[in-house]
Amino acid sequence: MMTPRLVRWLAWSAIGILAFAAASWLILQTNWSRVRLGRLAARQAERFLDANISVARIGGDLYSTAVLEDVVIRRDGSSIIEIGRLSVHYDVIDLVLGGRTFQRVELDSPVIASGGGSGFALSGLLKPRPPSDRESPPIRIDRLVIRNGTVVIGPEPAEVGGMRVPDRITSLAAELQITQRPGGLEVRIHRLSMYGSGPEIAVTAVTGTVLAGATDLTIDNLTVQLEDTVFTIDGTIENYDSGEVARQ
Amino acid sequence: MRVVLALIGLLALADTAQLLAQLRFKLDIAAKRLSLEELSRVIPALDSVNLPPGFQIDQLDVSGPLGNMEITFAGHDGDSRVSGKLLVDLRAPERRVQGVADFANVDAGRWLGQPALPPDVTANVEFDLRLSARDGRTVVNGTYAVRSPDVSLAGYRATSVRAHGRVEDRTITIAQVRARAYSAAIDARGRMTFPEGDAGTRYAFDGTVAGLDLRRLPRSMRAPAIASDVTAGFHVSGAGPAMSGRAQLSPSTIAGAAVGGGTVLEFGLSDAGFRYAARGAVRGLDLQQVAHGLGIDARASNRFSSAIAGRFDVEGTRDRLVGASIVLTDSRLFGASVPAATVRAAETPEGWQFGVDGQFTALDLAAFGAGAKDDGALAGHLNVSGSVTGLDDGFEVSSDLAVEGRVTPGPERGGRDDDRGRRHRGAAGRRRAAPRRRPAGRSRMAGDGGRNVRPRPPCGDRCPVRREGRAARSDWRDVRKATRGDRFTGGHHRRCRDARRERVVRRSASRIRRDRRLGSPRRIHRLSPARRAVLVHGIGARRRRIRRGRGPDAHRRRRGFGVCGT
Repeated sequence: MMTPRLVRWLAWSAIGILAFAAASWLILQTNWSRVRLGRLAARQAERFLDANISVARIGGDLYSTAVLEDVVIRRDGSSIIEIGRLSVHYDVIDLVLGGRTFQRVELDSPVIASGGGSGFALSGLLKPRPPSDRESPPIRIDRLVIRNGTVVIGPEPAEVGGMRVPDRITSLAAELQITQRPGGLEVRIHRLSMYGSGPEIAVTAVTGTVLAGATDLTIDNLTVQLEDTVFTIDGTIENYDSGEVARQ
Repeated sequence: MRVVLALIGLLALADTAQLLAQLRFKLDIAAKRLSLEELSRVIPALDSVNLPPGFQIDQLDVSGPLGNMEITFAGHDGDSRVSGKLLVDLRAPERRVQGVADFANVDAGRWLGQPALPPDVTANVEFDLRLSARDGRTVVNGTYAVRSPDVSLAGYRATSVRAHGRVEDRTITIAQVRARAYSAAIDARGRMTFPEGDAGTRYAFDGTVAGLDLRRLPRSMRAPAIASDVTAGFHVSGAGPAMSGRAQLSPSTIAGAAVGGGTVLEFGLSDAGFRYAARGAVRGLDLQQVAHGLGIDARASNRFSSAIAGRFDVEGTRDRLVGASIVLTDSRLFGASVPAATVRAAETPEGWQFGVDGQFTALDLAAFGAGAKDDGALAGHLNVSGSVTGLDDGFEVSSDLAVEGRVTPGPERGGRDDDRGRRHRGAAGRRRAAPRRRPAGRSRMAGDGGRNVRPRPPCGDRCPVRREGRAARSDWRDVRKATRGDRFTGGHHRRCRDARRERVVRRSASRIRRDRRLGSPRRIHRLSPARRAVLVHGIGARRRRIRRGRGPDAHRRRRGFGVCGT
């Protein structure tokens, strides 16, 4: 039989939790708190990136949707990634419970300045991390949507393995599914198109699956459709050391 | 934040430029539709290859690292198929491609966008090429070897083609190419350079050709169908539209004649036009065989039976013969023996100028078509010169041929008919005693188109030209055609000759008898089949003898002057 005193404590606790939730919700709705939250997120990200990150504003209800606006990643004073709007849809309870599943991630008007030439600006962007005994939960993005993306390779013409890389890629649109599996990071490409200039080339559609393992990159039924060309690739690219990529 | 990190990790996948060198590829690629023009924008090495839009890659297996990548490929476009195996090094700055490729029924002109290239190529190509970038373009250096059982180019065909050489940027060196074409064996080497800009291709080839038979050359070359066995060394060079060539013959055979080694043929094509020159020696040349090869009427070519030996030097352009000289030695021409003679000819704006200076013996006048009255043989010395005009505008012997010179009959005469010979001797003797000279200083003599330069008897009172003028010459054409091939030489007026020829025909008793029985060949064709059968059967025995080349009229048969139904 519950004593009246215990009931009173439970009631006050519930009221307190509700009040905290209401207060936190109210605080999170303020512009001040969101700016502070953006700075906190940037500081957390800088632990993993060798770059400076700034987020102009965080929107969304933060319980199921977070919208980051004007995300800028700078390195050596110049911006290498700008995202006009990054919205993430998630299940907060899943995240609280340790899950890493995002229902939907949308990038509007991202601009990536790769740097071009012999070295890309993205090289070495990720900080080397010591191996951890803790096994991090797998990341899963059910739907990654990119709209009106731009990749600036650089003013210097880039050539990789006898291939000329366009100086600038515009109208990048993609719809991907990303799943981290034991074998690696699987990227399922539902739709991808872009337009490259210098040299001019239009990729009208790309579909297929790419599995980036620890050392191998497996390509499964990757169909690339250009204006007058359609080809399909199957196979593996070995000695692909994702760890080295990460270290760089 | 982890989302952002994951995205950055994804973007880093594309940041593998520095890692490409250590990658090992094991890919299978299939292309339903392929445009190398499109791919060449991102793969410059494909810029020089222009596959047709419908080309399909059936197989493209890529394995190995960029520095030692094995590529097995196969593709097709309709009936055209290509397959091969490559070993490539795609690492900058100098890439290397070596391997072998098999082409089957490939339309090279369509694939490479060069209509002049052969439309049906079957070949095996081995190559070892290095590609590097220089001044914004791809520079190719390396070696190659081509083997093809059959190559057709611009209407010409060669078989068993073997070639190898080097590629050095814009220059392709052919160390050696061997092939067989039209029964000839060709062995050549050379170099082609493709300069930058609009400058034309420069090329130079040296080589030899052996066993060339003109009869086997394609009709498009319009070569005379003369039996020949030519062995020669040649050099051809050019730059853009200009070209020149030189061929030096080894001892060869043309139309049964032995062409001496050292005979040189030269030609050139430049802004000034086309020019050619030939000089050398020939022995045993039979004009009859040449005439036959040139398609001249066989009956007419009988008179060309000859054996010519001597040296020649000819030079000309596309529009005119600049000069030609032939020095004959110990030759036989038109039935006459020519111990020594020099013939010179040149084309001038006013017409053809020619000159003949030499000796002759046993000249058979019948070979010139003289009538029975003129048959016989003649010997002597000939030194004449003259001109021929109006060849392009209705040549008339009486007005367009002018001959001036001296014919000195020699002491040796002969002929089939002593009486005729005496008549000739008599006439010749008179000429020798008092060579006839026209008051104008330039005598007009009847000639057979300028070929037979000898005096004609003057027209008599019955010459229709004298009587009626020159307006109605065509009336006698039928008579002339009906008696074509007869040995006849008349006066210098064609109508006069025709009239005399008809008189000769009508005076011939055997011909009159034959005409009474058979009529002329043309008339027999006009007869009814029944009447023709009667006539033919009635002379069957005679016809068979004629067919066998015997009998009194066998010579007519040999001249193609046959009887109805033959």
